[in-house]
Parts: sequence; C-alpha cells; structure tokens
Amino acid sequence: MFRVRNSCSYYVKLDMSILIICCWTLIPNIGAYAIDERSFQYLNSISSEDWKRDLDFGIESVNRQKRLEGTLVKSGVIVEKGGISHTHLLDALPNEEAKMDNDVASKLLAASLYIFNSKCLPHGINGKDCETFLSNKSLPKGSELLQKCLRIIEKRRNGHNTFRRLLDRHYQDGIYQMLPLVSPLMVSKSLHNLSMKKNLEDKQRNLAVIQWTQFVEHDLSKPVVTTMRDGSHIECCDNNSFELVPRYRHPFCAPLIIRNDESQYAKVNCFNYVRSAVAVSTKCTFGAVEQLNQATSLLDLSQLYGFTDEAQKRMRTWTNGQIKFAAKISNIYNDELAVVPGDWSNYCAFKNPSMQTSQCFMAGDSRVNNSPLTISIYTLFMRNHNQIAQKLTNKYPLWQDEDIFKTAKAINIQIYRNIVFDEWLPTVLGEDVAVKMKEFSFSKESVDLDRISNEFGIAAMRFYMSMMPNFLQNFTEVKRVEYTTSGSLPQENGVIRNENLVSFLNQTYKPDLEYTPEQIDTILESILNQHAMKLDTIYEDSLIWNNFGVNRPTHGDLLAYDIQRGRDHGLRGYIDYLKLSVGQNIGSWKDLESFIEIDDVNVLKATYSNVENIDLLVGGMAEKKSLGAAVGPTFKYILAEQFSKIYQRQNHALDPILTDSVQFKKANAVELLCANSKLNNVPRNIFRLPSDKNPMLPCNEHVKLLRP
Amino acid sequence: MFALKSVVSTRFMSLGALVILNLCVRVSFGHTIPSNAIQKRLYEAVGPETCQIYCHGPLLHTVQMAQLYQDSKTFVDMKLKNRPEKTMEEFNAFMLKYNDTPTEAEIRDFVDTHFEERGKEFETWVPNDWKENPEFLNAINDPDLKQWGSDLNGIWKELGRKMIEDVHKNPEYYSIIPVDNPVIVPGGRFIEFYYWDSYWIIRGLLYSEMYDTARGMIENFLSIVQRFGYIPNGGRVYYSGRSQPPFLTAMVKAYVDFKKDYSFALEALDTLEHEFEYWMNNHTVQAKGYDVAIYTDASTGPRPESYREDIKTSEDFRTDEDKEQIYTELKAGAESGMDFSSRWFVDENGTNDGGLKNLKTRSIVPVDLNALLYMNAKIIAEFHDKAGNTAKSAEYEAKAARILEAIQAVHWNEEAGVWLDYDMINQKPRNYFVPTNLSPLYTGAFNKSDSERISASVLKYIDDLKLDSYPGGVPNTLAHTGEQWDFPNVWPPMQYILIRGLENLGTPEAKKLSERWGHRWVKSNFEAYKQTQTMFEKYDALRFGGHGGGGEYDVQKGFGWSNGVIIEFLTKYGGDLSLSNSAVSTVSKNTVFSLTVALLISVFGTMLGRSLW
Repeated sequence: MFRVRNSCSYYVKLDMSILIICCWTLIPNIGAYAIDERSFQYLNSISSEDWKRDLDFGIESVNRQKRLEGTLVKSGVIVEKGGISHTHLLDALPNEEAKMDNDVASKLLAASLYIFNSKCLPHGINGKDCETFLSNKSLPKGSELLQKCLRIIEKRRNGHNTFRRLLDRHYQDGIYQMLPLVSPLMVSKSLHNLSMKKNLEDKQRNLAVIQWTQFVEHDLSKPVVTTMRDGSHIECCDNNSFELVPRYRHPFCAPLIIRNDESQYAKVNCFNYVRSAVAVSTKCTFGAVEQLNQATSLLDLSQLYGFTDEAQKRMRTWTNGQIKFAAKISNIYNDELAVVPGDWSNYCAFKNPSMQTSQCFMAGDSRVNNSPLTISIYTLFMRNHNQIAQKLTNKYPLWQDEDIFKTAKAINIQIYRNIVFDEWLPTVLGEDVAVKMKEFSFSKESVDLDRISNEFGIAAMRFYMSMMPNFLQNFTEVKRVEYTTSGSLPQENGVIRNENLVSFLNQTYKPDLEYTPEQIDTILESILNQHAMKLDTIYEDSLIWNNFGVNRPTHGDLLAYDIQRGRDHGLRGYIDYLKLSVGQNIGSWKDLESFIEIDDVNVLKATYSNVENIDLLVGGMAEKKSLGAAVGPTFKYILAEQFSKIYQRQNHALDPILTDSVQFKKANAVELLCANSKLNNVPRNIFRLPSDKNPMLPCNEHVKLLRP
Repeated sequence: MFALKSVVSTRFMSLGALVILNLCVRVSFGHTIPSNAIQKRLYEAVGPETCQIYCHGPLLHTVQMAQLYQDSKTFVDMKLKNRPEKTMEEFNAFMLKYNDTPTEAEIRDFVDTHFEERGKEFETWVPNDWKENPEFLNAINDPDLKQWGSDLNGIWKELGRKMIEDVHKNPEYYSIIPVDNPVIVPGGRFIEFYYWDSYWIIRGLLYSEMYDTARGMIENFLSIVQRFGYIPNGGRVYYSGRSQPPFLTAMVKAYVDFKKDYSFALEALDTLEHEFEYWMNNHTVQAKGYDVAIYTDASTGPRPESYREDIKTSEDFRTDEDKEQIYTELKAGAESGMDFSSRWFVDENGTNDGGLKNLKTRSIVPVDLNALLYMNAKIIAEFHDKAGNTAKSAEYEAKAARILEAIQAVHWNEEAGVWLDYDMINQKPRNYFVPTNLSPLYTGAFNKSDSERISASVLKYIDDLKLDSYPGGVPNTLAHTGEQWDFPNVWPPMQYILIRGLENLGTPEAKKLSERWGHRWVKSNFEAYKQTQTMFEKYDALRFGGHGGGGEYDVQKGFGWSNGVIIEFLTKYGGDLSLSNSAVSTVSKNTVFSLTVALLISVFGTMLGRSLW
C-alpha cells in the first residue's frame, strides 16, 4: 500500500494511543520502492534528446491554455467581486511570488504528465513506478526550465516552499488526477443530519482556542489557488452557482458539484474550487510536483509581518521600528490595524464596489479580515509589536529604526511562540503530549524539517472549523449582568437579541463592525467567555450550505471545500493515517468502532461506499477525543509531529544575542491580552472558560512587562 | 460576397413548393431532381405542423429561455400530450393569462401539463440479428482486447432504438422523424439517429455481422432522401435545414463491399444521385473560379436544441439581420459536424482567433466536403458501371474529375505541403491544422501517380506539427479554445480518416505511420475503457486513455462511432496487437544485457546521488 519512510522511531505511550514520531530522513525512493525492472529498462533507454523534446512538448501544450484563458477573461468567466467565490478566494489568495513559482512548477507538471501519458501508460508502466523513475530523472541540462527551477531552489524564500507528506500521494493516475469519490457536498450534507441528536457545545473551551488555532494556521499554512497566466482568478461555476458550460471550464477547475434532486428539472449546483498552486520540490527532476505553501514554516508571525521581504516592507512605518497602525487615542494599546489603501479586493469581499470602507484591514496575510476573531488577534500582536518597539526606543534612544524593528519583532515572536507551546498546545493536544513533544530531536539536515505537512495544513489544523459558532455573543459586563438576571443566555430563551450578536457569516471578509478600541475589547471579552462548539463532524449552519435547489446559495460550504482540498492535495484516506498514528489496521467498518462513536460510524458508512475512502478531515474530526485533548489520536499525531519539528528547529533558530529577550520569556497570554487592551480581567488559562478552577486575574497586575 | 446557387432563392419560393417538399425548411432542389425520386408517404405532411412547437415560435422561445433543464435538448425531445395546434392555442391563452411574463414555475407547470418526458417515442429493442460471437473476434489475439471486442459487440444491444407504432400513426405529437427500421444511435443525449455518425456505426455493425440492422439503417436514410430530398443532421424535425457530411453513398458502398452484392447499390442508385445533386445544387459557390461546396443552412432562427445558447451568442449583434446571420453560421457549423471549432472562426485580421461570434462557416471552403463529394461521384460512377450504364458512369467520372481539379486548385497548398481550407472573405488559404486537411487521402481525391511526392510532403507536415507526439490521438486543431472540436479533443471519425488516409497513400512510410496511429488509437481507447468501462464520444490528445471535454454539453458515453471505429481497427490490427509486450517491444533483445548493466549502474548512481543531496 504505502511506505513509511521512518528510519528511527520513538515510541512514547500517550494516554490511549501510541504516538510514533519518526525521523524523516532521506531514503532514496528507488531503494525503498523498487520499480519493475522491465519498466526501468524501457524508461532508461530513452535518449537525452527525447527527454528534452518531451519537456518542450509538455510546456508547449500547457502554453496552449493561454488562448482558452483569453476567452474566459473576455467572456467574464472570472471570480466576481463580492461573490461567494471571492470570499473563498481570499482564504487562498496567491501573491506574485507564488504565481511565479507555480508557473515553473506547472510546466514541470505538464511535462511529467506528458511523459507519463506518452511513455509510461502506453507501455504498461503504472503511475507509481513512473513517478518513482521520473522523480530521479534530472531535467535536461541546458533547458530553460532547469535554470528556472535551480534558481527557485537556490533562492528559496522562507515561505513558498512545498507541503511535504506523511504518507505517499493518493491520486487516480498516481501523479495528479483527483479520485472520483463521493461529492464533498454530499458528505457535508449527510454529516449535518447528525446534528439533531448531538450535544453540540464544548463545556470547557472558549473561542480563544479557535482564534489561536486559526492564527497559528495562518502563520504556518497557506495553500493558494492556481491563477490564469495574466493573474485573473479562475471561476468554475456560473454566476448563479450552477455548473458552468464545458467550454468555459478551466483545466485547473475541480468545482464542488451536487445534483439537487432526481427530477427532470434537476440542476447541478456548483461552488468554485480551483486546484491549488504547485511548486518545485526539493530537487530539479521530473516527477510529481507538490502543492505550494505560501506561508513560512516557522512560528514567526509571518501572517502579521508578511511572508516575503516585499510584504514586510509594506507593513513597516520606517520610524521607531513600528509597524503600520491607525491611531485613535494616544495609547498604543488602543491602536487599530492600518486599513488597506486603495483597492481592497485582495483583502475584502465587499459586494458593493463603492463601499470603500475604512475597515478593510491590512496585514502580512489577507486572511486578517476573515472574521472578528482574526481581526482582534492580529490587532493584539500589532499593538504588542509597537509597544515593545516603543519600549526599546525609550531604552535605546540611539538605535535606528531597523534595529528596533528587528528586535521588537524577535521579542514579539518569542512571546507568541511561548504562548503557542506552553498554553495553546496543551489545550489542543493535552498537557502530557505538549511536554513530551519538545523532547524529540531530528536529524538536522532533514529537508522535511523546513516544510509543513499536507496532513497538518490541509486537514488536522482545520479542526477548529468544527468548533466555530454561528454567532459571537456579547459578554461585556453590562450584558453579563443581563444574562444573570434573566437566568440564561439569550439563545437559550429562544430569544435572539440581535444587538448582542454578531453573525460570523456576515463578517467573513466583510468587516463592517465599528472596530473601535472598545469594540475590540468587546470581541475579546466574548472570545474568553463564549464556549466553543464541540469538535465533531458537525459544522454550524453558517459554515455549510445544505439548502440545494433552484435558489441561488448565499454562502459556500467550508467543510466540502476543505474535503475537496484534501483530495486536491492527494491526501490518503483517513484509515491510513489512523494506522500511522495508532498502528492499527482498519479492515472493516466494525474496526472503526473503537475510534469513532457508533452513530458517526453509521453516518460515515452511509456516506462513503468504502471504509478506505473516508476523507482524513472527516475521520479525524469524527474520532473520539483523547483524554485532556481537543482532538482524537490521528489529528494529535499529525499536529504533534509537526509542532515537534517546529519546536526543535526554532530552538536552534533563536537568536542568542538578544539580551532583551530574556526578560520577556515569562510573558504569557494573560500579559499579552492585558497589556494590549483595556480588559479588566482575564482568566488564568485564556483557552478555557472562566470557572473556579480557572479564576479571573486582574489585568492591572499584568501590564507592566509589555507596556512602555 | 459569394453566391449560393439556390439556397438564396428558396426564400422566395411559393407555398406550393413547401407542401411538396414538406418539413419546416425552405429548401429547393431545383429542376435537377429526377421526378421519380420523390415518393410521397402518408406522414409527410406533418413537418410544418410539429415545427411550430419544436423548430421555432413563441412556445419554443418561452420554454427554452426559461432554462428549465441542464441540457437545452431535453425539451425539444419531449412528446406532446395534445395536437400541436391545440397546444399552441393553450399556450397563447397561458401567455395571455400571465401577461406574457410567466414565471419559471408557471412555465414548468405548462410544460408538465402539455408534454411527456423525453424518450417516449422509443421502445426497447434488441437487434434480432445480433450475434454473440461474430467472426471479427477471432482475428484478435490478445485476450483482453478480445474481451473488449466482445463487450463492444454487446453494446449494440444497448444502443438499439425502435420507434413505437404511435409515432407512425400520430407523428404530429413527436419531434422525431419517423423511419421504418430500428436504428443504432450514438448514445448519451443523442437518442436518435445522426447522419455522419451512422457511417461508422454501420461499418461496425457490418463487422459484427448485423447485416439486417445495417441495411435497415441505410434504407431509412434512402427513404428520408426520397421524402425530404436530403438527410437532416439527425432524426428530429428541428434538425431540418442542415445536413451533415455526406456519407450515405459510402454507407451503401460499405454494405455492398461486405455482402459482395451490388443489387442493393443499384436499387439505391437513383437516391444516391439525388443526394449528390442536392449537395451540388444547394451547397456550391465559386472560389478561385471553381465550383466548390460549402457547409450552410436553410432554416431561420437559433438551433432549437441549443436555443438559449444561440440567443446568447447573438447578443452582441444588434440588427435582426445580423442575428440571423450568426444563427446561420452556427447551424452551418452544425452541418459540418464540427460544432464548434476555431476551424470556422475568421476574425477581423483573417486569423482563427476569437470565439463563436466570429463564426464564418459559410465563407470557408472545407477540404473534407469537397473530398467527400469527389468520393461520392466516384462511387456512383462505379455503381453505374456495374449496372452497365456507361453513359451515366462517364458522366459521374467527369463530375469527379471536375471536383478533383477544384480540390487541386483551391485546397492543395504547395508551401504547407498539404490541403487547406480556403477563406473566401480574405481570399487566402487557412493554414491551421485540422485532420480534414488530410481527408483527400482518405477519399482518394489525389493523383495516385503523385503518391511519392505527396507522401513526402504530407509526412513533413505531420512532423513539423509534431502530430505524432500526442499519446491520446491526433487533436482536432492546435487551438485550445474550449470548443469541443478544438485542442486537445480527439474525435474517432477523424482518427479513422487520418489512419485510413495514410494507408491509402500507400508509401511504406505513410503506411507505417498509419499503423502506429491505429495501434495507438486502439490502446488509448482500451485504457479509457479499462479505467471506466466506458466508450466516449471524444478523447483527449494529451492523455492516454483520457476522455474529452469542452463545448456545449458534457462528454457523452456510449458511443456509436467510437465503437464502430474500434471494432474495425480490432479486426484490422488484432493479429499483431498485444497489450502485455508493450514495454519490451521498443527494446531489442540484443540490448538487454547492456541495459541490465546500465540498470545496476544507474540504481547505484541514483542512490549515491540522492544521498549526496
């Protein structure tokens, strides 16, 4: 089936499951997987002129797509501003560098697919053998593509690497073609049927878990969509969210489609999905390319500062080491994020083009405007940077902007990293795993060390979507009194008080709250006091779309979208990863019952024809949760594997010359929150609802460290 | 611009002529039609009546513009519950009631109460001449390919359609054109017979020894020519006004070649002549001083089966006259069989850029149509010769010679080294690849004594365009427009014409290439079948075993002509073709030893290389 390339493994007993963390070292593919000898002979007998010609031919054929793209742009088949596709696009918006990387890699992909189709398949050589051979076959010397590829690898930016894989890719052709599985929209639809009989709330965790998970995800993982050669954004559905006429379908389209009923009038509903951009991997050979990760693979707040040097330049004020902000009152801890100057369509998805709002915010990552949760946490770290910079300016009046900026950034990152490892991770993985995870060491030269795994970025780290509520409730002190006197929370009365509620759906890339300092404080209060939804396969209504029919959908389906992305990236089925994490083979639906509640198993059974086809995201979310952790064993494995790599790499990466950083080592989440807002109290563990065990701490005792 | 010999004049024809010629199209056959060729039939007068529902008019417009169905063709294939005139009366009342602006739901309700679901005109029919083990299977050595051949033979049973008795009794309730004999249809959305598709279907049936079914289909076409004067695009009244590439004569020829019995040909001869004259009289124009044939159309309005799509295409044209022009170009494109393709685009600069708006089908002299008419004239001459009609035979030889002369003068392009379509607007050849550029090789429309020179020239053309490099067959054009008769789609009839054409050319090099393409086509189709258990209407040049896409509708499965071509090629190549020895077939045995050494060195080399990374 698949091959686990671990040469040395650490077995650590962790509550229910065994967490195996492997050393990912370079083992030649050809050694681990022997390709059929006759196939090898044939492929090896191809002359070097042939390889060169094949490369050129593959590139030529992909260049022909330009004509189609011209027609699409001329016919208006591109992403419409303010539409559903635009909202999804902003979650996966490529920057210029990503487009350039993708351009080279897509040519390499086209050439490899051409060789697969013209040399391998006709000679009975399967996709895996072919890919194995190709991935060891260097690009022809002197070819333009080789030069471009080498240039990319040599000057590899911190971001824009590829995603790596825990397990081999899973495609129909072994290289790139997606498998024809049950429609993700159908999966989403049938999973939602479970919501009737379930307890939906997480009794302990608050929205900060979601907020921080999303923020860390933004830092580490950003798969982006393929664009047309002229930068236009590909649209795969018509403007009524029905299937597009075949003549307008771009080759990189993989839309989410579902036939809404069986009647003769049945129409095919459609949500845009464009295949992820790709990048050249670690070497310049033929073979399958890997999906591009535009984010940097370190916990370095690149989502705030920018993934590239260019992006970072745009974020700076160039005086006193500050990053851009919008000042409302004199105190830095009341500053707001700077707004996007000019065209906001790369940051926000307002419907009305004239709505040149003052509230489309700017950061290193366009995903800042995803929701009030993201806006508020980006704001916190922006304020924190500027407060530290101010502190440094006061302390070292002779320092230049550059020194202050660098130092403030390093300190800001250190505080952030501490909170991630010491506070957030224990909440997600459980205390024990979070501690043990730091103890592993990896061989330093491993190429995998500086890449994020597909399984992490595309599936496991997306678990928080299931915990998202529909609304953000108002928990300011005044409102809390109201709830206490009326004896219950507003929606438990069956009365929804609109003035207290913010719909996440309405705010997705359309921030239209007044983001005053008070508003940010209100949002932070809500985040700390509102319970998260349970991590399960049930998403709240506003995140999915099950209302298919002749009506035009008002929003997309995030669950279906994520499932499709998992397939686009060639993730294997859930049970393969379950085996990787707990070491148990799943041969039947019955076997699953030790890991997934029987009700859920039954729904999965009704949805997927075969137990092997369960998508990683769905299976991972359906799992019974490990004791003390938010997630089950499979996601725990995937998350721990990734964070242990990051931990080790960043421990080395830490700059020892920063003497100032020492004093900030003890800064925790409470300090961060208190110092960068006007909150009065914050719970000791910011990721859990306030309770007797998790008392509120007064903020005035926790502001000194970070404020100037 | 250019003169159509009689299509133009048809607009001024008398009502009397319409009644004689029936159908809703105004087509004239002029004085050249032998009077004995038209035998009137009972149901002939129904055309105009059903046409008010299915071909044009407010009902068609209202329903099709409401976009009730994923595929516009669905509606025009539905059976009426009442007579057409009653339906129209009720439709007028309906429009009055809703003030001419009914909602989608109201229109849907009207359709529900006045129409039955599509496909009501057929009953299941298993061809009674179907054979479990036709002889051609014995010619196939490879067991997998043999099984596949057997599967394909079995698919004929699924594609058989017989019209129910009611269609003959009450034809005005249906859009289907009634025919006496059951047919094999292409499949998918194409649930009725199609003209040129049927040529490859009939060839396949002949290899499957289903002679009665094949003959029945040919007799249907002969009767349609007798009734209507020509064969419409497909077996529906809404296809009237446009035909498809004329393959009827070749169908008869195929049948008599298989049966080695010319009597059928002699019976059909009048009708074949009639069809030939229809093309020569209604489709010819002057180019470079020669009479040449073009694809065109003789109806008005958008294509009924793609009504909304055509209205949309015409949106950019302001006047009704301009809209009518683009509708005609669209329908002429349908007549060519290549609907649609950059082959028919002429933009302001005289290139093939642009889109459907730039369709100028009628202004392009197509190589294939003229080459086909040459072949038809030759076959008719041959049949007359067999019948002992020396004078008639000589007459058709002369016609053929004139067409050949025109092909040489208008299409052959010394510079390109191949035949090219001719652009009458810009008075210049169109140097864009289409497989039909090689169609004279298939129809024999070239000077046999010149074979060596033509072969060298054509093979160079193929080499320059790297046409031999595509794993999934030769693409229809090299322009990736999104249209279905463009890159990277590959079409079975075109592969057939290329492969048979190169074989016909006769030089060893051409024959070698023909065989290579033939083998590749069989293997690539088999790969697709192996993966999906499906035969597709079109394939993908870039993917070995990949199916096509683009155009107006999703890729169809079935599929008549694909099956026909493969059955013939399996018969032809089945003795040599094998799937298992592919990998070594290109490596000679002498090199095995050195390769093994190379293998070992490379494995170690690669491992060493990798560990150094």
